[in-house]
Amino acid sequence: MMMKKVLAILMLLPTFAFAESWLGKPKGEVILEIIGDLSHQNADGEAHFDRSMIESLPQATIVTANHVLSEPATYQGPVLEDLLLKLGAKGDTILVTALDDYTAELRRTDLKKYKVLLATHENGRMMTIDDRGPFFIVFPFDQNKELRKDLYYNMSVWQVKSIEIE
Amino acid sequence: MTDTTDLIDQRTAPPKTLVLLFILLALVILAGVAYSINSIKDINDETVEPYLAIINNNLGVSPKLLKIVSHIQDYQTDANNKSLARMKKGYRIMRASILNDIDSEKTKALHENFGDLEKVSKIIEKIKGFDKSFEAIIEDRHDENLAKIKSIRKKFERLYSRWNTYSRKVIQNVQQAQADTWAGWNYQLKIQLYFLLTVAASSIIAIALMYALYMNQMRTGRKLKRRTRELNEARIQAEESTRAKSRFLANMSHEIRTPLNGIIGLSKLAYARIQDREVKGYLENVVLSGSTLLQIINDVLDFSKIEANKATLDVSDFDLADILDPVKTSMHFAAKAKGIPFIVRTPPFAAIALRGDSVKITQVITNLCSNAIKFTERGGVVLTISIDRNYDQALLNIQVTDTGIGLTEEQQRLIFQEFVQADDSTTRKFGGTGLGLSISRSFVELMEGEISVASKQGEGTLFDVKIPLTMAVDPHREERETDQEQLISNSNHLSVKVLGPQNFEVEEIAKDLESLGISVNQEPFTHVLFSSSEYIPDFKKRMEHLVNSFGVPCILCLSNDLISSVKDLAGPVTIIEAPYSSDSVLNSFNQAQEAETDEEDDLPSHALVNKSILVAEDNTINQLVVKETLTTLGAKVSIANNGLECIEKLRNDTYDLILMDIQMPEMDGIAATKRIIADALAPNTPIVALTANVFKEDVESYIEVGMSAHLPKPFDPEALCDLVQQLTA
Repeated sequence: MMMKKVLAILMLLPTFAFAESWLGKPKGEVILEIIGDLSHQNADGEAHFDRSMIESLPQATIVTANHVLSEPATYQGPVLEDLLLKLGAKGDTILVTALDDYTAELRRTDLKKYKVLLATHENGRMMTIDDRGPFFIVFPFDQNKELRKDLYYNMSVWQVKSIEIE
Repeated sequence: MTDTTDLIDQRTAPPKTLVLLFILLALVILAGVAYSINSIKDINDETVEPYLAIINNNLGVSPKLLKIVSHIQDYQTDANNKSLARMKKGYRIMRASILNDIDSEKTKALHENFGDLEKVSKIIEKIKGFDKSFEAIIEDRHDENLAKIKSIRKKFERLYSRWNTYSRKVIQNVQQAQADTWAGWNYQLKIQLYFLLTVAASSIIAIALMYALYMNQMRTGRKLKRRTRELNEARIQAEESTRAKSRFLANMSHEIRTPLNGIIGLSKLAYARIQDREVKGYLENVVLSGSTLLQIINDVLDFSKIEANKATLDVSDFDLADILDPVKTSMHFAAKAKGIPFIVRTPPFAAIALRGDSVKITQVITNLCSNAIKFTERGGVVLTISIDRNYDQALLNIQVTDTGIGLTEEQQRLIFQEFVQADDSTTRKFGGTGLGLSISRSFVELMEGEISVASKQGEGTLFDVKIPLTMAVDPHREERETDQEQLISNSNHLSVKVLGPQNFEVEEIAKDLESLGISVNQEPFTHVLFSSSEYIPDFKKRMEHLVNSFGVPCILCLSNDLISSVKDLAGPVTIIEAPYSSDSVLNSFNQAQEAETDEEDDLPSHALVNKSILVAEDNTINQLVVKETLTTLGAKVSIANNGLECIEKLRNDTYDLILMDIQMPEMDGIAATKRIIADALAPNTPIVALTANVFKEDVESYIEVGMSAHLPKPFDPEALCDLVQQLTA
C-alpha cells in the first residue's frame, strides 16, 4: 500500500513543476506588478506582466463616461477579478498604486459584482502615460447609478502601476 | 320647562369659537405639512459630494507639481541621460495626471461654481506650454539643459504657488458654501422641529377639542333624552288628565241627567193630569226650571267638548219641521211664562228635506231664542227662518229679533266670547252661564256658517245666522212641491183679520201674512185669525162671540191650556197650537171648516196597545217615568232592576221590545245585551238603549253590541212612542 501512495505523489510531481506554466515570464518592459498571497507567481512571490502577457488574457469591454470624459468611451481590457482569481489571489481588498503616487483601496466584491475592467485601450486606442495608461481601472458608471459618486470615481484609478492584494 | 327646540339650537351646535379654532388648527397643520414636504424636497437635491471631489482635485494637483520639481532637482543634482529620461517621464506622467484631474468637464463645472474658471484655463494652458520646454532638453547636452532647466524650474515653482493660493481660495469658498449649507440644514431642522412641535401641540389640542365636543354631544344627548322623557311623561299625564276629565264628564252627564230626567218627566206627567190651574202653573215652572238646568248642563258639556276639540258634526237628513217643532214647543213655553209673544216665521212649507247636523242647528236656534226671551220684558221675540236654494245647495237663514234690553257697541263686540254677558248686572238680573252664545258660535263655525249681531241699547237685538246646507234626497219632493204651490196660489185669495191681546203679536203676524201674499185687515175678510197665549177670563164665551160676529172661518192659535177650554166650540173654527208659525197657519187656511182638536200634546192613548215592553232600569224614579209614559200609551210594562234580572225575565217570557238602561249595578246594559244576543234569549225582540249617555262613541258602541236604536234620556214621550211603534211594527 505505501508503495502505491508514494507512486501517486511522485506521479503528481511534474504538475508542481508546471505550476507557473500558464503565467509565463515577462519578456518586455514590466508594466504591471501584482503583489500578495498568490498561487501563481513569476518574480519572488510576485506576478509581473509585460504588454503581450496582458494582451493574451481574455478581453472584455465597457462603454461608459467617467470623471475624466463627459462623453461615453469604449474601454477594453482583461476583467481584473478574473485575473486575480487566475492568479489564486487570497484577500478581500486590493491596494491600487498609480504612477502619480495616487493610491486607492478596492473591494474584491465590487470587482466581482461590476466586472471591473483593467482597461488598456480607450476607444480602440492604446492608453499611454501621457493620458490614462498603461492601465485605467474602469467601472460601468453609465450602467449603474450607484457608481456615479465620488467614492467610485476615486476607485477608478488611472496610470495604474501596481496592485497589492491585502 | 324650556322648549326642546331651544335646547337643540343652543346646546347641540358646538360653540362657534370652538369650530373656528378647529378650522384654524387644521389650516396650520396643512400649511406645515405642505412647507415641510417642499423643504425636504429641496434638501434631497443637494449632496455633500461635490465638495469632497473639489478638495480631492485641488489637493491632488499640488504634490504632482512638486513631484515634477523634484525630478528636475534630481537632474540638476546629477545631470545624466538617465536622470534626464526619468525627469521627462516624470513630467509626462504628472502632466497627464494633472490634466486628467482639472481638464475634465466635471472639474470645470465645479470650478465654475466655487473658483475661477478663467484662472484654471490659464493654468492648464501654462502646464501644456511646458511640453515645448521639455522637448528642448536634449540628451548629452547637459550644460545647455541645466541652463534651460533653471528657468523651467522657476516657472514650475511659481505655478505651484499660484495653484496653492488659488486652490486655498477655492477650498475656502467651498467651506463657506458648506457652512451655508449646514446653516441652511440647521435652519431646516429647526423649522422641522418647530413644525413637529406645532403639529404635536395642534394634534393634542384638536384631540382635546374633539373630546370636549364629544362630551358636549353626549351631555346634550342625555339632556335631550331626559327632556324628551319629561315631555313624554307630561304628555301622557295631560292625556290621562283629559281622559279622566272626559270620563268624569260622562259620569256627571249620566248622574245629573238621570234625576233631571225624573224631575222633568214626572212634572210633565203631572201637568198633563192635573186640572187645578194654579198647580198647573207651578208644574210649568218646575218643568221650565228643569229644562233650564238641563240646558245649562248641556251647555257645559258642549263647551267642554268644544274646548277639547271633540265637537263633531253629526250629519243626517232632516225636515225643517224636525228643527222647528222642538223649538216651537220649548220656546213657547218659556215665552208664555214671561208673558211675551213668540212668533215663528217660516217658509210657507216646513216639509223641506235638508242635510246637516239638525241637533246643533236646533241647539243654536234654541239658544238664541231663549236668550231673546230671557232679555225681553215687553214687546216680543220673532224667529225667522228662510232658505235660499241654489240647485242642491241650501243656505239656511236664521234671524232672532227681540225688543229687549239690547246691547252697546262694546257688548256687541264681546258677546260671543265665553263667559261674557252684557254686564255683571245682567248676570245678576237674568242669570245664565254665559256659555250659550260662545257654544252657538262654535257650532255655527263648525258648520262653516256665519253668526252676527246688531243691536240698539234699550230698543232690541237682532241675531243673524247663516248656515250652508245641502238639499237632501227627497222621494216625495215633487209631490210636496205641487201641494205647496197649490197652497200658495190659494192663499192669494185670502184676506185675514188679525186679532189678539198683544199688539206686538198682532203686528208681526200681519207682517208675516202679508209677506206670504195674504191681504191683512182688508174687508171683506175671508178669515179671522186670533192668536193668544194668555189666559183670558170667560175665554170660551169670548171666542164664541168672535166666531159669531165675523161669520167667517176663524183660526184660533192658542196655547195648550186655552185649547182645552174651547175644545167643543161650535162653528167654523180651526184651532192650532201656539206659537204662531207661518206654515201651520198657512196649512190651516186650507183645512176643513170643522173644529179640529189638535191632540198633539195628548198622545193617542191607544198607540202602544197590546205591546209588551220590558224595561231594564235601576233608578226607581226613572222606572216610574217610563212605566207611566208607556202605560198611558196602552202598553204592558215589566220592570227589571238590572241586567241580570232582565236576563232572568227573558228566560221566562217574551216581549215586543226591551228598553235597556246602560248604567246598572250587577250587570250593565252592554253586558246584558251581549249575553242576550249570544244566548239568543230574545231573537225577535229589538233592544233600545235608554240612557243619558249621549256621547257619539258610546252610541256607536250600543249599536255595535247589537242594540237596534238609542233613545236619549230625558226622553221625549212622542219620540219614545214613535220609536216603539217603528220597531215593533
